[in-house]
Formats: sequence, C-alpha cells, structure tokens
Amino acid sequence: MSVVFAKRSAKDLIVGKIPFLIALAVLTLLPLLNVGGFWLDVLTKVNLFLLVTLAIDLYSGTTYYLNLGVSFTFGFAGYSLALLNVYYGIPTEYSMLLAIPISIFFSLAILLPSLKIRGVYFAILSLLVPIIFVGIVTAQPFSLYLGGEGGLRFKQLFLDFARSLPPGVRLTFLQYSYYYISLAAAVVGYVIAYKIGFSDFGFMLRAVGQDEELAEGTGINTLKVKVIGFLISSAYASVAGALYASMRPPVTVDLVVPANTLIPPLTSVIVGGLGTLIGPAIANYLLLLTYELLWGLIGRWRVIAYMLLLIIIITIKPQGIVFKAYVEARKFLRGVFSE
Amino acid sequence: MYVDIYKYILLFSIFHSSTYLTFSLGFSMLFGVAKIPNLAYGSLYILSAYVMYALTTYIGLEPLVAALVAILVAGLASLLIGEVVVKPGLKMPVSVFITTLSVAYIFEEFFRIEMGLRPITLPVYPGVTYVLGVPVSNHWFLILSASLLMFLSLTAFLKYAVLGRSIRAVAESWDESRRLGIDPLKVLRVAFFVAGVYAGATGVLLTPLKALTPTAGWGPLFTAFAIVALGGVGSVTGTLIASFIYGFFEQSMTYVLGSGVASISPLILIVLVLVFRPQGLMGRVE
Amino acid sequence: MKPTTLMAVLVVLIVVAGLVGFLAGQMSVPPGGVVTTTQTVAQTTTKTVTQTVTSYVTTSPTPTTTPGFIGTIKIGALLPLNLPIGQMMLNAIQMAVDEINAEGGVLGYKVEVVTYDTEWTGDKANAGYKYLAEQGVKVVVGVFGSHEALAIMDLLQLYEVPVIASGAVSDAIDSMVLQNYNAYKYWFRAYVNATSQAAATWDLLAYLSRRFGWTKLAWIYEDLPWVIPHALYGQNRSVQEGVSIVYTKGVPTDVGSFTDIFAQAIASGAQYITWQFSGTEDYVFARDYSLGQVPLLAVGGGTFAMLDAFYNQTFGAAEGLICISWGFPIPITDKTMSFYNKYKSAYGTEPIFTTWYAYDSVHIWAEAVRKAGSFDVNAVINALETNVFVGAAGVYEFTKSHTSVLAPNRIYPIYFQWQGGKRVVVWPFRVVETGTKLLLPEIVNGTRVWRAIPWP
Repeated sequence: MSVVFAKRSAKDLIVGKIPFLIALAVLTLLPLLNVGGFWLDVLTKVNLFLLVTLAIDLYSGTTYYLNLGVSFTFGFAGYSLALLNVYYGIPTEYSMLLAIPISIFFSLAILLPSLKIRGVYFAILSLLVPIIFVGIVTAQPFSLYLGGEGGLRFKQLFLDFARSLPPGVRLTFLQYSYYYISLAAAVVGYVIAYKIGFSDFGFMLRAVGQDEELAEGTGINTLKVKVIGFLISSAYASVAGALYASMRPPVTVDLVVPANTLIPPLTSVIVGGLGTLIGPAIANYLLLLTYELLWGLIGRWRVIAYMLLLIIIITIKPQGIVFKAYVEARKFLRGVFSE
Repeated sequence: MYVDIYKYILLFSIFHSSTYLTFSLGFSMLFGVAKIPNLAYGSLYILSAYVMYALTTYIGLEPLVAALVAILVAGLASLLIGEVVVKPGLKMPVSVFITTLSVAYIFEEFFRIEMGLRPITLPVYPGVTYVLGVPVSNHWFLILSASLLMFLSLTAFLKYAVLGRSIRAVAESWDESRRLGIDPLKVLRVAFFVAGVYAGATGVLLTPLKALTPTAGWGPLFTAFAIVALGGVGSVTGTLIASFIYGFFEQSMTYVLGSGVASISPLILIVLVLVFRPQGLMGRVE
Repeated sequence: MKPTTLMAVLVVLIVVAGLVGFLAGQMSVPPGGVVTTTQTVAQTTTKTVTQTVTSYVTTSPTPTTTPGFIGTIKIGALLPLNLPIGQMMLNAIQMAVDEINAEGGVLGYKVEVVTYDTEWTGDKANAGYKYLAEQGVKVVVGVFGSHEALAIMDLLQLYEVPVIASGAVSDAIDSMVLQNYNAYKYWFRAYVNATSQAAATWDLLAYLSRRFGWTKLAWIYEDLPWVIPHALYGQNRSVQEGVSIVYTKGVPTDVGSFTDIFAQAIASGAQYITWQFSGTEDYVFARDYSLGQVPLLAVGGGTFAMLDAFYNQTFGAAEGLICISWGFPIPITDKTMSFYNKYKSAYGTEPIFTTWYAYDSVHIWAEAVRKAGSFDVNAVINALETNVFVGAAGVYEFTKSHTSVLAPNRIYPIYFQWQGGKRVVVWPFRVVETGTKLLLPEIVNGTRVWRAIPWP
C-alpha cells in the first residue's frame, strides 16, 4: 500500500489542510445548528468510533496482523471503569482515567503471547478472546458480579453536576459536554495517529507488513515494533472504550460483542483503505452516519440495504475506495488551483 | 434402568462431535483452498433447512427428495457466493472477511422478514434404540452414519480423485499449482460447491433435533472456526481429531463446571493450544 | 487569491452548507431536546416513520389535522424488531392504536406510532429512547428486555417521557423506582416482575406437592441471568412449602439433548420437574421428554411452548407437558377474546406472551390520558398510579414500584396441559372448566402411559 507523499507547498497546504479545517469547523459548529440530541448522540458515538478505527488502521492496517481483539480492549476498558466505580466507589471521572492503563495492561498480557503467531492464526486467536470474554461475563457464577445481560450500572459522566443544574439545562449540558469531549478526543487522536503513522516508527510497522523476514534482515527488531504498535493500538481502543462507556451506562457485553464494536470500525478501515488513516477516518463518518440515516428512510430493510451497499463497494475496490477517491479529489483540486 | 453418567458423556460426546465434524469439514477444506474463512458458511446451514422446510410443507415432497434438493441448493448458493463475493476480493483477504459477513447478515435478515415469526421444525427420523441402557433417538444414528460417510468420502475424494488432488495442490500453494497446470480458480469453484453441500447436509440433518431460527447459523460457524483453528486449516484428519476433542471436552466440562462456563471452556483450551502450537494440531507451518 | 481558488473554496462551502442543511432537516427538534409537555402538536412536523405490518414504512409528510381530529399525537414503540416477539408486539401496538383512532383518538387527537429497533441491545435502546423522545412522543411502549430497560432508566428524568413497558422483568428496576421516586417515576411495567413470575409458578408447584404428596423437585433452567430471581425465590419458597429441590441443571440456549438430564433427574429421586426457558430449548425439551419416556410430570415455562402450534411442531412430543401462558384465549376479562380473535384473524398467528401486554399498554396510556384530561406528564403518571385498568390479559393495578400486581383478580398466568393436541387449562382453578382431567405419567410394562384423573 503506497501512500502519496509530496513536498509541502502552499498549494498542498490549501488543498490538504483546508478540507480538514472545514470538516473540523462543521463538526464544531454542528451543535449550534439545531441539531437534535439524537444526532448529537450519534455523532458522539461516531467520533469515539474514529479512535477504534484508527486503532485498527494503525496496527492491522500497516502490519497486516489482523487484531480482532480490539473489541475486547474496548469493552474491557468499559468494564474496568464500571467495576472501579461500583466496587471501589471511585467517581466515574477518575475511574475512567484509571480504566485506560488497566485495559491496556490486560490486553497486552492476554494477547502478547500470540504476537509471535503469524498470519491467519493470529486473527483467529484474537477473535476468540472477545468471544471468551462474553462467555465469561454471561456465565452463571461470574454474571452475579459482572452484571450479566443487564450489565453493571454506574453514574454516568458528570451526572452529579448535571443534577445540580436547572432541569431544562441538564440534558443540553450532558449532550454538549459529551459531544465536545468526543470531538476533542477524535481530533487529538487523529493528529497523533497521523504523526505516528508517517514517522520512522510508522515505516517500521509498514516494513513488517510488507515482508517480515526482509524487515528483520535490515535490522528491525520486528517483535519490538509489533509490541509497541500493539500497545499504541490498545491505547486508542482503551481510551475510546472508557469514554464511550462513561457516557452511556450500564456497561454490557454489547461493548465486547465483535458485531457491535469490531465490525463497524473494521469495515471503515477496509472501505477507507488499509494503512492510509485519512481514508478510514472519512469512511468512519460516512458509513456510520449512512447506517443511522437509513433507519429514517427505509426502516427495517436498512440492514439488507447497508450490507448490499458494502458488498458492492468492497467488491468493486477491495483495496478501499475512499482513499482512492480522496487522492483523485486532491488531484482534481490541485489541477483547479494550478490553472 | 438408569445408568451412571459416564455412559451419557461418552455417547453424547460422540454424537455431538460427529455433528461438529460434518459441519467443520467443508469449512476447513474451503479455508485451506481459499486461505480465507468464509463467514457466510453458517447461512448455508440455515438456507438448506429452510428450503427443505418449504419443500416438505408447501409442495409436499418426500423428506429424502426434499433434503437432496435442499443440499443441492446450498451447494449452488455457496458457488454463487464464491463467484460474486469472494473471488473479486481474493487479493485483499481482509475485505472478504467483511463481505462474507455481510452476506451472512443479509441471509439472516431475509429469513427473519420472509419466513414468518416462529421457529421451524423438521421431522425426526422415527424410533428409539437403547445403547448401554440409554434411550437414543434413531436420528442420532442417522447423523452419525452420515457424518462417517461424509468424512470417508471427502478423504477418498481428496486422495484419489483428480479434482481432489488438485484441491490439495491448490491448498498447498497457489503458485505451485499454477505451474503444474492447475487452474486455482476452477478448483476454488469446486471447493465452494463441495463446502456448500457439506453445510447444507448438516443443516437438513441437524435441524430436526433442534428448532431453526434465522440466527441458528452463528453457533455452528463459531464452533467450526474453533475446530479448524485447533485441527489446522485444511487438514481433514486434523478436523476429525479436533471435532472429537472439542465434543468430549465440552460435554464433560458441562458436568464439571455447569453449562455456562462449559460452552467457552473448549475455546480456552484452543487458545492455549494455539499459543504453543500456532498452526493447530495437524496444520503445516507455512 | 486567484479567481479559481476562490471558486473552489466557494464550491466546497456550498457543498458543506448543503450537507449541513440536509442534516439540519433530519434533525427538526429544537436544541436542548427537552420535550416539554406543553409543546403543541403541529410543531413536531417532518418525517414520521410509521410501521405497519404489510408495508414497513409509510411517511406522512405533514401530519396536520385529519378530518375529525384536532391534530396528531405520537407514541413511541421501542422494540427488538430482530426478534419474533418484537414484531408481534409491534403488531399489537399498531392494532391498539388503530382501535383508539377508530373511537375518535385520545382527547380528540389522532395517535401515530413511531418505532425504533433496539436490535436486542441496551446501546440501541438508549439511542432509541432519545430518538423517540425527540420525535415528540408522549409515551414509550414496548421495552421488552431488562437490559434494554436498564439502559434507558437514567434518561427518563432528563427527557420526561414516560415508559409503559411490557416485559423487562428485572427486580432491580423495581427497587430503583422505590429508592429514587423522582428520578424513575416515569417508568411503569404493564406486566409483572421476575419475582412475581416465580411466585406464580410456585403456586402451582406447591399445590401439586400438597395434592400428591410430592416433596422432591428437579429444576431445569436456561443458564442465563434472568433466571437468578427464580432461583432465589425458589430457594425460600421451597423451604416454606416443604419441597426440596433435589436436582438443578442449567443448560445453554443451544442445548442439543436433554436425555442425560432427564436420566439424572430421575436418578436423583425427583417426583416432578419444573423448567424455565426463553429460547428454542422448548422443542428439544419436548422431544426428549417423549423420547426418554420420562415418567415425571413437567411443569414450567418456555416462550414457544405457549404456542398453539407447538404440539404439531414437536410432532406430538409435547403430550402431557404443563406450560405457563401469560395470555390465553379464555374469557379472563371482556376484552380478552375480542383481542385474541382480532389478532389471529389479522396476522394468522396467535398473540403470545408479552404481545398481550404491549396491546394493553397502549390502551392503559390512552385511558390514563383521558382520566388526566391532558397529556401533562405528571398528570398522566398520577392517573396511572391511582387507577385500575381493565385490559385483554387481565386487570392492571400499579404498585408503589410501578409494576403490575400479581393476583388472581389482577394479572395472573394460566397453566395448561397438552392433551392430544389441545391445550387444557389446569390452573388457576377459577378458570378451569368442569369435567377437566389431568394426565399423570406412569410406567406400565416399560412404556409410559398417561393416566387421566379428575381435576381439580
């Protein structure tokens, strides 16, 4: 997967940065434009899912080691938060922060032994981890402590503060604060991911993805690169999980079930173009918003329509359509500017 | 009249393992050839059962004829999935992961909308036989013999038939087989059809023992996934061994730990095996 | 800046503006999203997704005044539409709404249903409640899963849209309402809680114990958390009734065989069996109950064992099973048979389980609004708390924890036994017909036979 690199010029700055800034401006100003709470909520979710998309793209998109355990990391952060809150009485605001390192640590501890496994077996193994976790949470002796199907309830982020506000403002405050937190996380997450993805370390990750033996031959410690890459990826998923869970209690196995928190971001990565970061990021917004909009348009048939759309898009361009489209658009714009 | 529990564990481990075997065989073989897990495999299981139900209920066909037609339909559907969805994505294996999953969701949603609100049932092969003092439905023996037959025929097919040998060659290496004059895409087509037949056969055999809902395909798919991981991708013998390990482990754990933890205990075993032997029990190191 | 640059920037801005306009059009509710009860009906315009069974989507572009109505009012249905039960409940809700509209609506307003699919997840239920509240619905009905209900509980106070659930039996919800009334008073359950479900089952188990002198019970259940209240209740009640639970066994939802479980139950000396399932285990259970010639009476509950087609679907294996039913075609109230017949003729299948309660919940709400004389939330809640409502499944009276009272003259299940393909009601006695027989299993010459005894 080659990425287009060009020398930075004023032209590129206009073409490259301005769409980004416009997108940012739109996302920042949206809440002021009569956007209802439901859509604000959807956008909050999509912002946080951007972090999961980046987590997959940063590691699996570059090294081609398909880590399907991302949903485990995501959900584990949520569960750590809830357990700290419920059993140790730590307020959500702090347990959220504590949950992030805990989840990173456990993801590493559980999936580290599998990092030496290559190819499709790593994918299988990493997929089994969230499935086992779901099994444990819903199984009889553990479900008593972990909440089982109904999940663990705790106070959502800022709820105490919101209750001190007048009734009419409570909801607005919660929705706006959540939205801007998620937006800040998405922007910071994307900028950092971009810096990492195209740094020297990013190239080492890509080298592992191209040919592991060759990379080793050129003096790259591939295991070390993989572990650090995995660590970064887990950090992204953990932050996303902790924030997401803190905003919508209770935590349930829905957070861990791959169909909910793995497949949508993975789809974004594939439709966006592996390892390109910008492609998956755009795809993340397009796909998740399309899915929600379809409910208003065709109701129950949205699952079939959405899946057909995915099949068609992916079958036409298995390498990812969004990044290609993005490059074409940039070329076109550059052409317009250079006239 | 009532016997101790070890006989039950022994008997029903064998029965359950044989159902796992029939289902996993096709999955494993296809996985070996295409190098990609076909996540729409579970849909073929429900497809054949629904087709058989429709044929027996609305047209009034004999169960045997209906079953054969249903299996054929599953095989053709598998062929179609392979042609339309999998083939364009072969260069990008991860994308096939998503597209086959999408196909599975479409099947599930379609049956949910089209096949009404209730689970469907198919008639059981009549009669009861007592084995070691345990009453066992004759249907279990039908499944056992069918799975044995299917295992043996697949082994023979892969070993002696020309097409079977090409399947093995392609599973070994696509480039190598091209050099030998085998068209991997043609072989892939055969593999898809055979896999569909195996999934369909499991559907018509197993549905009478349970009730069928549109989501019934997922459980067997995950089991097949786990068994193939344990046995080694593409290995028929490995699948046989892994199915029986899985079945015995699951059944005995049900008695030791209770069903909640028992259903995931084989998965934990598989994770442990894979950490120490990543290519599975019988798989080759690539 | 060159003219071309300017043009490009303009094009981008126009596209963005168009996108924003499109999104804003989708989101019609004013910022803040607090749906006040004084909001007039005409304000909530734009698209409404109304679901009927024949066509999934019909849009009503401008729901202004329909002839004969002052205006339109919306109610929300929050349901797992990916489950059969969710579809059935939606049918029943639509049916109730049609009836209300045929009678002139509520306070002169035509009622419309807005739905959202929870896909059986708490997460989507949470989003769905917000979606419905922002569509301006006056009440949310449906809400089937406990996990779905628990996921929306903290939103109730924020949006102030009441919920009349049918299902969501978790006792945790009841204690929440008791402990923090102001935050959770918007919750009502037009159905009973898990403890009441268990109590109803144990009433019959206790009677059988007294009647036949049975003291040893085997308990077979689905190994999922919803069963826990049944276990806790059973432990206490069994001590009171002098019944010992000699064998317990949890099974996964995809269980393949009960043969061994029955054998163990018999070996443990159990004299009768009780069972609780929510999935398709019913079919496997019935098959092996017949196959293994189990000589014990089995009393229990399963979603599909309630169906009229269950006997044929199991090819007669269900013979002798005693099953619970939370809605049954016998005249319990004067509305029971009319609902049953109407539903069956409209959709071709029986209404089962919470379908009855979803139907009733709409009528309960309409009745409460009429009693309150307005759509004001607090007035409606007050009306719900202080009145008794006659529905198709029974008579509803809400307790302090806002759940329905379980009592023979309120909400109470029916137990029937499968006898030759027919469902014969055997409990409670006030609805058992005279001349009813109960079938008891016996082993004669190695095969199971059914002995009919006069009942009660």
